[in-house]
Amino acid sequence: MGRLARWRGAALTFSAALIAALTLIAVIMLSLDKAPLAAAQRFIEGAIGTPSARADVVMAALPMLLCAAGLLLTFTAGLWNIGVEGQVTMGAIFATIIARTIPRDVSDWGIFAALIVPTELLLAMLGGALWAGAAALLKIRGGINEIFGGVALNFFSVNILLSLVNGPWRVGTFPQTAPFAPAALLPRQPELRLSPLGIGIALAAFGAVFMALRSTRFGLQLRAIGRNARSAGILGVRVERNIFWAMVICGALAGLAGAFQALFTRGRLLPNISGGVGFMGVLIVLLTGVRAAWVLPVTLFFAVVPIGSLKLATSLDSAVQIDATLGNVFQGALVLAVLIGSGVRARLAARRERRSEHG
Amino acid sequence: MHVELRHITKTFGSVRANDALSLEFAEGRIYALLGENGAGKSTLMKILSGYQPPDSGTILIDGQVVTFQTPADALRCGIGMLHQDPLDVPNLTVLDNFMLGRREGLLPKRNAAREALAQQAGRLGFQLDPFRYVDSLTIGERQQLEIVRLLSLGARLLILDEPTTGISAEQKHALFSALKRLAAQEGMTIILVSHKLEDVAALCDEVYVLRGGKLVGHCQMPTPIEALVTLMFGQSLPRPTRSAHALGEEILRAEAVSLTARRLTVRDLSLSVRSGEVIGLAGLDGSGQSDFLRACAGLQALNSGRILLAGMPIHGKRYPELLRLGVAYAPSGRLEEGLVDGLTLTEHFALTAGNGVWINWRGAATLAAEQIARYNIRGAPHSPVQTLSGGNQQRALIALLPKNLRLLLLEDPTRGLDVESTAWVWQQLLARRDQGAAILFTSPDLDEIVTYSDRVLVFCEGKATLVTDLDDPSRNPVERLGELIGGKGFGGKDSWVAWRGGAAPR
Amino acid sequence: MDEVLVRTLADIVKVGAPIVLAAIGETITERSGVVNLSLDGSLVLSALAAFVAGISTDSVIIGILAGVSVGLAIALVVAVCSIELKLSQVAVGFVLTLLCRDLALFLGIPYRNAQVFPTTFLPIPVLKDIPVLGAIFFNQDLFTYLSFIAVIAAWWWLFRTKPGLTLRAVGERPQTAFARGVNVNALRYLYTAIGGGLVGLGGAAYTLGVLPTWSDTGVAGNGWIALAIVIFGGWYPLRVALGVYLVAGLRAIVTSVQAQVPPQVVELLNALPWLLMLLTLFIVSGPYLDRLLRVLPPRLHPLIRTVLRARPPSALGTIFEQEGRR
Repeated sequence: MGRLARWRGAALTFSAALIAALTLIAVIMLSLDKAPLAAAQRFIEGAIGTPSARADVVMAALPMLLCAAGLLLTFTAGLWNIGVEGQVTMGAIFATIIARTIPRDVSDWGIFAALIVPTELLLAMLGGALWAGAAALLKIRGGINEIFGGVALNFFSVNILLSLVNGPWRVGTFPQTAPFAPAALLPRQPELRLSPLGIGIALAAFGAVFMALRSTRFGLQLRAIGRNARSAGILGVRVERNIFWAMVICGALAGLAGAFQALFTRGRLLPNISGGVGFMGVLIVLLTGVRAAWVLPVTLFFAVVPIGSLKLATSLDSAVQIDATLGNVFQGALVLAVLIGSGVRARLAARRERRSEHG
Repeated sequence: MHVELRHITKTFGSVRANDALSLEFAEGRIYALLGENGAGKSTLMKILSGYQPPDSGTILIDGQVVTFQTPADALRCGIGMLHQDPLDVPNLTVLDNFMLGRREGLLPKRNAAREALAQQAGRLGFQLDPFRYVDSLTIGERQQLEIVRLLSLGARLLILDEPTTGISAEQKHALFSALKRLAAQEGMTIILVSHKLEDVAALCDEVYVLRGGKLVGHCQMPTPIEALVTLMFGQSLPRPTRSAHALGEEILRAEAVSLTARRLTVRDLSLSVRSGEVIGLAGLDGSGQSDFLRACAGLQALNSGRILLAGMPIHGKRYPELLRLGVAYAPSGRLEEGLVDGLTLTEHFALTAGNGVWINWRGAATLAAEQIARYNIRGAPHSPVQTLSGGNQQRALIALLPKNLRLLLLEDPTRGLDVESTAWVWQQLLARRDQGAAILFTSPDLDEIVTYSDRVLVFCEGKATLVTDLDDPSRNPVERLGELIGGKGFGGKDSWVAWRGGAAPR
Repeated sequence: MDEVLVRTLADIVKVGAPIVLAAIGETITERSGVVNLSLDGSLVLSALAAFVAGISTDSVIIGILAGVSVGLAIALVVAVCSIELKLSQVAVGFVLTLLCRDLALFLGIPYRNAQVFPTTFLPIPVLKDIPVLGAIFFNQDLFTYLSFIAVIAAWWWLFRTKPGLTLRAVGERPQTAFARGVNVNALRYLYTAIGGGLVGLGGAAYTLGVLPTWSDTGVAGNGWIALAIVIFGGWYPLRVALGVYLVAGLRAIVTSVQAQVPPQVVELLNALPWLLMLLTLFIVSGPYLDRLLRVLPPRLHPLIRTVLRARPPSALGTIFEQEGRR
């Protein structure tokens, strides 16, 4: 099948899936006496109509992009790194270790003031990497399936988070830290809620993963492992070592995403700091069929959804006001539809091939 | 029960595995279905036993046409097949496996089943413990269980697919006596699918020979082996002459190596190999030769003993390190263990050649094109390897072997290849040998072993005997090796001496 | 026996009932070779369905039927995608779990903390007066009894009946089962449906029994715990149930010391079940068990394997295709 034909097929599947998911949402809205078309218009306006909304979308996309980039590595190697959520959480926690100690006034810090954010980010990467490394070791040394290990570590990370924000790090009556000092946060532009540094880091990380998969030995080795780990071993690939590093790098990127959540999106550490960005990364990679080239547009698309949903949720017009969770439903439905669509397509193609063989 | 196959045809893609085959099987006789790998024997028997439907043709039992949807249907008509890898459930006990598939209603009758098992097994001289888990049994025992099960469900025709691969000499003896008893005393029909002539000679009354999907011969035994060989291969294979060549320094040394793998223990093996030597490892599948090969490749741990590469201990090192030291291992399962399906030829070459962080794709593509031309691989650099035929995959595997190898460890390098590809592969391997590499290879084909080996290490149940006088005109080397493989002659007072340590004289 | 202890044990068994139902359902599904990763979302969505149906019709039976149907439907989606479309079970299950959870959160908004479902407490007259055992096993509500029945039925079916042997074979080596005349895919559909139904029943057990109201946070997360316990329990129903009670017991301990202990320690204690499971699996995996088995006589092997082994059904997650057939 030629490349163009495959491209067309993928586009067709995606469009059909999109229509299916949108139809589902429309049906739900109609059953609740809402106006789908008006909502759609408000949604789009709200998400990309104003510069501030666009900035929100971009910034919301960054943590997802980081997770998706890391997950590209692990999925290529055939791993299901469900533990990515825990890695995000640990990244946020590790970044908070520094962030909560930064005072409001750092004018007399001189050069050290510039080191605050890099240190936080590096710590966050360390935290995520540690968590991913743990899951990897459990798999390699203990034969514990990485899904089970990931789920267990996810819960464990939540326990640690709750323990910290309910205990020693708590400020006030709610389980959360104090808002971080401006010097500890990701530097942002004065007018828009936008952090060029954040954008740069996320794009650089994604670009690095993209290059790694395409042009480095490491990327090719991961691909070989993902297809046939035994043969890869015979061909000289160090399977366990590569799996370990794929997980650790993914964890580091996820940790970075956690730092973004703590240092920008929420500005403090509180429960559910990960905000589901890890799982969203998994959905994104599944949607693109582990194809790196599609991750960027899909991530932006996914980021539009929560921003637009929020605008609908806070709307005063009762005909379009609807809870933001519907946006998550849309995302899940879309990925499911794409998976089913690609499965149907493959089955039809196989049937066509068999018929031509016999005929 | 008289079974007849009429004009059975089965095609897979472009390959006609069975071409209008017609065979007949009578009661009380033991048949052999002979043919090279890929001649169509397994396919035909899978059709007969209900695993696959034929594209055309009919099966008749006692004159009635029958069709099978599943193997269970065939068994109900009395036809049962024992696969090379017995189709059982490893994670269940012997008794559970015995009971699986019986139509008995909701509650199993455990005690009745246990008695039936003991009775059937005893009748054939087998010993089976009902409470052991099947994954702790040897292949021979698993075969026995399956035979007992098929018989207890009323099989009148038993098909055995390459049953003697991987069982001990004792177990083979037990199996053959049981089969003879079944045929002679109970009027059962036995079909032995094999490419091992010695087994056929020992057991069978009649022989059908397949070649390239067609029936090329139907003989009564005894028939001289050469006649059978001619039928199987189309001509008497001339024995290629071995040219003299110089040997170098000792490159590999095994000292009192002992290892345990897959319930078999190889004990106290000592061997010394010089550069430029070709050592054939012979024996029934699972006698230890593959495991020893893997041990030399760092893929199998040793219980005790040492393995040295040019004086440096390598036991305990992992395979990627050994690769860098000039040791290469090629397993027999090409797509399962040697090539990565989904990756193209270029990507394979990019994976194995070179060392840097970045991949030079253009360089890899050029290298791929070069190797394709040089090794005559029918495929393009961007072809995914699973689209290549078996022979071309083997060529690709050989092409992927690194240059400047000191030691080549090959598991059945010509498995499934036709005569032309086999000759070509050996041409390449001998070229490497001439460059100074030492080669250790396993093969189930005694002719191949005798033709290409300087010395032969014969494995039988983990014991290895080194055979050095292959050129001795007084004994047919193939026969002699066959006897050693079957267990005769080990520790005997014969002229074959188990050699320990040192270089072999020429 | 101490009053408090007995009451605590009774509570553990009651609180654990929904997870037991879900875990047993998943055990059955995975024994047939299918992974139903949508467990968490399925549990939440079927809990909501059961609640809504129960509240609107004032009938437990209707509520149960609603929950079971939802669980069954979701499981069938996984089965169809895997068997007909050859999609990865893990991928479909994962997406479904997120989708169903979000769907439940969204659709459940009008029902938040709304009404309380009338009790389903059903003490059994004579038996409940037996000391200790009576209070724990016979003084419970409907769903707890159903969970007991589920455990025993699953165990009996898997290990004492012919169809159960067939089920085990299908999950271990489907080619062999096929050769013995078993319709592998039909059985996978059947057992996935049954498993899904049990998960749905577990969901109903939450909102009609244990909680018994609709809240966002009460149910979510327990599906993952059930999944983990299936693995921890080695796919043996009795061990799985024990695992659930162990986790519920640990939680009960944490709740009881909550007042005396600072909150940060409480949270860390909540992590205990997970850490314990990881540690145990790490120790019990592979090589140690095989070494033990080599030393002991074959007669004991089935027992030891049942008690300690944690290897999944060998064909779990795989797609079964018949050779050479169209």
